[in-house]
Amino acid sequence: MVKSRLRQLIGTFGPLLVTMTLAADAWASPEGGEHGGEHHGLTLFNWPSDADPRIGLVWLLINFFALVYLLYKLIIKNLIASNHERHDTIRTELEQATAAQASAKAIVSEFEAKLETFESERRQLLDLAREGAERDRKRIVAEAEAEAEKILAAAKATAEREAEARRQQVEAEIVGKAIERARELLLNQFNDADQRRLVDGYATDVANKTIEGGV
Amino acid sequence: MIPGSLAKRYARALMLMAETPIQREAFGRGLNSFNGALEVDDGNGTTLGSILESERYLVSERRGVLQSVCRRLGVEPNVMAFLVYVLDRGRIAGVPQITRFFNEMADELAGRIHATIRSARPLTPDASHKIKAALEKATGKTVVVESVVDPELIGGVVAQVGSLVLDGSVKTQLENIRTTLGG
Repeated sequence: MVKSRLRQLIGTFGPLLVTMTLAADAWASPEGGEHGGEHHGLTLFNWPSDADPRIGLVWLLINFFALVYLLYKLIIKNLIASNHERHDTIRTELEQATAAQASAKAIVSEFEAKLETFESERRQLLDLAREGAERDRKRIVAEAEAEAEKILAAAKATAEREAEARRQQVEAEIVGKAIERARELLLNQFNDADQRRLVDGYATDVANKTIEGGV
Repeated sequence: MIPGSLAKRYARALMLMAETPIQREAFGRGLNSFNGALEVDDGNGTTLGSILESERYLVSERRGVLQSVCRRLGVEPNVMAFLVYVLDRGRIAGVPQITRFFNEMADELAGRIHATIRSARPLTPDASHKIKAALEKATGKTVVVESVVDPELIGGVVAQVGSLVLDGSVKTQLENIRTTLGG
């Protein structure tokens, strides 16, 4: 990595250094005197030599444009490309960030909606639970009341039955005692005249019957 | 004891031997007299029936005893001959059944039924006659009355004719009153 970067720097600044050396060398030469001639003013195409160390303007321009070209080719172009690349990267990241932000907002909205839905459902469920509990309470109370009524009715019926049974038992006891008393009286007081009267009545009743098939 | 169907056949045979209703009644009386004598105990637990059924005596001896008893009872000679035949056939133990079937057949032929009259105290002849007449009117048949005293009845009369009971007792009336009053 470092090696490739170093090579790029050498490639970029090498020609520039050569050109600048040449230019400096040209400008650094004495303006006439040392080589015996007097050369003043600008030249267009003169190539520096011992006779005339001046450099022509054309060469200077060529040198300048070459420098500009090299700067553009080796540095500015790369910088522009790098800037473009960074611009693109930043824009992409920005777009991604924007998209992520939008997505996050959507998720937040979605969760907020869900929360609202959950809240609504929670309220609904609570209401349903309350209604169900109320219904159950009413049903249980109604069943309990019905059961209580049944128990009450059964208890009442049992009490009535027992009272009726007791009443019948008392009646039976009274009737039994009365019958027993009547029996004792009859045993003591029944006489032949009574028997004759009963036999006569019995004979009359039997005689008035018709026994089918003669028994 | 002999099978019922066999006893019925013997009874029917004796019935056919009677040529007239009077003779049939005489046969019945003789048969019933002999049947009654079979159960008479001599005081030692021995009855005429057990002697006649016993294999310890010869048939001729038992036959002699039977004839002797029949003569003493005044049993019709035909009936005596019938009883001797029954003895010879080894069916003398079936005489009570034969007698019962004979009586039923005789009653049926004579249009006669038997009634048991229970009363708390003995019935006077007049009362018995009234009840008998009433039963004969109700049934349209001659009724042979058998009276039984049952003090439990308190008063009144209960007549049973076959399976029919005509209850006129004070006891039953008291029970009816008890039922009516819910006792």
